Amino acid sequence: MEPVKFDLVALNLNTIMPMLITLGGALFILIIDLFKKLDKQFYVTVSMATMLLAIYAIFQINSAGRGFFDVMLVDGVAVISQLIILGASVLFMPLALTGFRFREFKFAEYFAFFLFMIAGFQFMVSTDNLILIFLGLETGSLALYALIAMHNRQKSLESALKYFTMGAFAAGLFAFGSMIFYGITGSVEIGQMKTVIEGNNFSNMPLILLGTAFMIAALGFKLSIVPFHTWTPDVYEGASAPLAGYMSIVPKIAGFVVALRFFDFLAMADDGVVQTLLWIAAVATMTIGNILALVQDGVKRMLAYSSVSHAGFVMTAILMGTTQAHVGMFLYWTLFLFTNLGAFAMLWISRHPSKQFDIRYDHPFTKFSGMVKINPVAAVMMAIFMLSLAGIPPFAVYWGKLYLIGAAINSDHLYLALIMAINSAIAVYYYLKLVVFMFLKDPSQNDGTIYNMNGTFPLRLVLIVAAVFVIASIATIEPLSAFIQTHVVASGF
Amino acid sequence: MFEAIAFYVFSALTIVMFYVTVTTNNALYALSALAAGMIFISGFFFLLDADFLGVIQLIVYSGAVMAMYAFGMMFFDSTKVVKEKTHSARNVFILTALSAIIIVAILTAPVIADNAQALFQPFADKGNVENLGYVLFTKYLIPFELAAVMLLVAMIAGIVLASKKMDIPLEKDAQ
Amino acid sequence: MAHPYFGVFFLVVFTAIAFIATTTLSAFVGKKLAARETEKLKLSIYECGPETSLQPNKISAQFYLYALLFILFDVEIIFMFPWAVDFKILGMFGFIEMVTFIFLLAVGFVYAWKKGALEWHSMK
Repeated sequence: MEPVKFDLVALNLNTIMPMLITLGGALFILIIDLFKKLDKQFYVTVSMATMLLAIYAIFQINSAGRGFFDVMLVDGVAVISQLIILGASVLFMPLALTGFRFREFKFAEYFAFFLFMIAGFQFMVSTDNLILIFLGLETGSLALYALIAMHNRQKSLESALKYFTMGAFAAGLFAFGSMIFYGITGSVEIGQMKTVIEGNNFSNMPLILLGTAFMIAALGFKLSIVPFHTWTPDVYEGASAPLAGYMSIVPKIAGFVVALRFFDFLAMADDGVVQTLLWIAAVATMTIGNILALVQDGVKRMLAYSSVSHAGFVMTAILMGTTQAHVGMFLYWTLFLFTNLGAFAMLWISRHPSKQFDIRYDHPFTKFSGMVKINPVAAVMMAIFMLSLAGIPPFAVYWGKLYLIGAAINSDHLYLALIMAINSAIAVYYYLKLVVFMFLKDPSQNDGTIYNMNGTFPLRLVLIVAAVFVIASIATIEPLSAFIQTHVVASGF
Repeated sequence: MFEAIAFYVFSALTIVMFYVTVTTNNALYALSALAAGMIFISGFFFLLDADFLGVIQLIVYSGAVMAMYAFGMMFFDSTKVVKEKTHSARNVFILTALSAIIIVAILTAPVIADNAQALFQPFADKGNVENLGYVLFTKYLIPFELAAVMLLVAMIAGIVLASKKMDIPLEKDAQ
Repeated sequence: MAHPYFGVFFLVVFTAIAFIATTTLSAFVGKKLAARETEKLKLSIYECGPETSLQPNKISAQFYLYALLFILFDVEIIFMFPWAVDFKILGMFGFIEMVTFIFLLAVGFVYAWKKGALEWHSMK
C-alpha cells in the first residue's frame, strides 16, 4: 500500500463544482435557520441564487471529463441533464411565493430539502458508477418524500408514504440488479460493464436478462413505466401542484439519463431481446397511460396519467438508440418541461386551501367549467398549455413529438412510429376535454377572481415565461436542438 | 475442519431462528428470533474473512435495525397473538415460488462470480478492513461523502416530520 | 486450530452449553425442592379499587425518532473504523475527507439539538 498523496489537480474539482454549490446552499439555509428566523422570501432568494450559481458553474466546465478517481463522469449528457434539472428548479422555485400561506414554506428545511434533492439528482446524472447513481437517487428521493409530506394534510402524508414504500422497493430492485451485473462483469461502472459484456459477446445472456429485468423494474418505478406506474396518480394528487409538476420533470430526466447510459449498449445487442422488452414497455406505457387518462375526473390525475404517457413516448428514444433519437429525448423533455410547468402552475394559482370544489379532488374538471366567461386570461393560458401537451402545432410539445416520430422512421421502427402517432391522436381527446369545459360550458362560479387568488407577481411571471416559451417555441427549436446535438454527440450517444 | 464445524453450527442455528421468526404467532418472539438469526449470520462473515461486514452485521443490523424494529413494535400491542389474514392462497403460492427461484439465482451467483475479475485487486498482505478503507477513502470518496449527505437528509426529514409543528392540518393553517 | 476466531467460537459453544446446563439444572432442582402447597389467594393479582382496563395503545411518534437518530449515528460511526485502521496510509487526504464527513454529521447533530429532538417530549 502506497501512502495516498493529496493532489487537488488530479481530482478535477471542476466536475463536482455545481453539486458543491447546491449542497453549500442547502447547508447555509439549514445553519442560518438555527440562529435566526427569516421569512420565505429570503430562502427563495438564496435558493434561486444558489441554483443560478450552479448553472454558471456548469458552463465553466470546458472539457468533458472524469474526476475523483474516475467516479465522476461529466460528459455532454450530464451537462444537458444538469441544465434541465437546474433550469426546471429555478422555474419551479418561485411558485413557493404564494398568495395564501401554506405551512411548508414557513420551514427553512423545505428549501434545504429542495437543494439537497437537486444535488442528489445532479450526482445521479453525472456518473456511470452504479453505487454513486444509487446514492444520488436515494438522496434525491428521500428529500422528495419529505417535501411531499410537508404539504401537511392527510392526502399528502398518504401519498408520501406510498411513494416512499414504492421507492424503497425500487431501491431494493436496483441494488439487486447491480449485484447481478457486478457478478457478471466484476465492475460497477457502466463503461467497464459494456467492455466486458461486449468482450465476451453477451455469453451470459440469461443472467444479463435477469439483471436487466431488475433494472427495468427499478428505473421503471422512477420513470413510471407501465406496469410500475400505479403510484403516480395517487402521489401527484396528494402532493401540492408545483411539486407534482416538478416530479413529472426532474426525477424523470435523471432516471432517463441513467436508463440511457445503462440500456444503450444492451438494447443494441444483436439478438434484440432487451430492445423488444423496452419496446413493449414503451408502447404499453404510452397506450395505457393515455387510456387511463381518458376516464379521469380530476385534472391533476389526468395530468398524472398524461405524464405517464409522455414518459412512455420518450422511452422509445432509448430503444431506438440513434443519435437523432437521443437528441429528440432531451429536446422533448425540455419542451415538456415548460408546458407542464405552465399547466401545474395554473392549477397552483387556482388553488384555494379551504374552498372545496369537490369532495375528492382539488381540481375537478367542473371547477373550470365556463372559465372563459369569468376569467378569460386564465382560461386562454390553460388552453394553450393543454393544446401544447396534446401536441397541436405550433406549440412546444408538437416539435418534440415530430422529432421523435421522425427518429423512429429514420431508424426503421415503422410500427413504433405508427403507434406513437395514434397515441398522440388519442391524447388530444382528454386534453381538449378540459378546453371544452372551459370554453363551452356554463360557469360554475359567479366570481372569476377565485381562480387566481393564490397568484402573486412571481407566480404570474413564471406563467408568462412558460407561456411565451410554449408559443414561441418554433423560434427556439433550431438553436436548442443544435446545442443538444453537439453535447450528445460529444458524449458518444 | 474447524471452518466446517463452525459453518454447520451457525447454519443450523440461523435456520432454526428464522424458522421461529416466520412460524411464531407472537410478535415479540418473532423479533427476538430475528435478532438472534442476524447475530448468527455475522458468524458466516467472520468465517469468510469478511471481518468488516461481520462487524457491520453485528452493530448496524443486530444493534440498530433491531432497535428500530423494537421501537416500531411499540405501535402495536406486542403481547397479542397475531392473526394472519391471507386473501388468496394462489397469490401466496406464486410469491413463494418466485422467492424460491430468486434464492436459487442467488445461490448460483458465486459460480459466475468465479469468472469475474474484481477491478481492485486487494493487497494480499493486508486485512479486510485495511483494504476496504483504502478503496473507500480513495476511489469511493464521493459516494462516501454523499452517503453523509443522505444520512443528514434522512435525519432532518425525520425530525421535521415528527415535530409538533406538523400537527396542525393545512386547512386550519392557511389564511 | 490456527484460525483467528477459534477462541471466540469455542467461547460461543462453551457459553451456550453452560447456559443451557445451568438453566435446566436450576429448573430441575427448583422443581424438586420447591414447596408444593400453593395458596390461591396468595398468588392472585392484587388490585385496589377500579377494575383493570387495557391501556389504549397510543405512543407518540417521537419515540421512533430516537431509534431513527440512533441508527443514523450508528451508521456514521461504522465509517470511522476503516479510516482509523488506515489512518497512516491515508494521511492528510483521508483526514480532510473525514473532517468533511464529521462536519456534515455535526450539522445534523446541532440541528437535532437545537430543534429539541434529543429532549424528552418537549420538541418545539
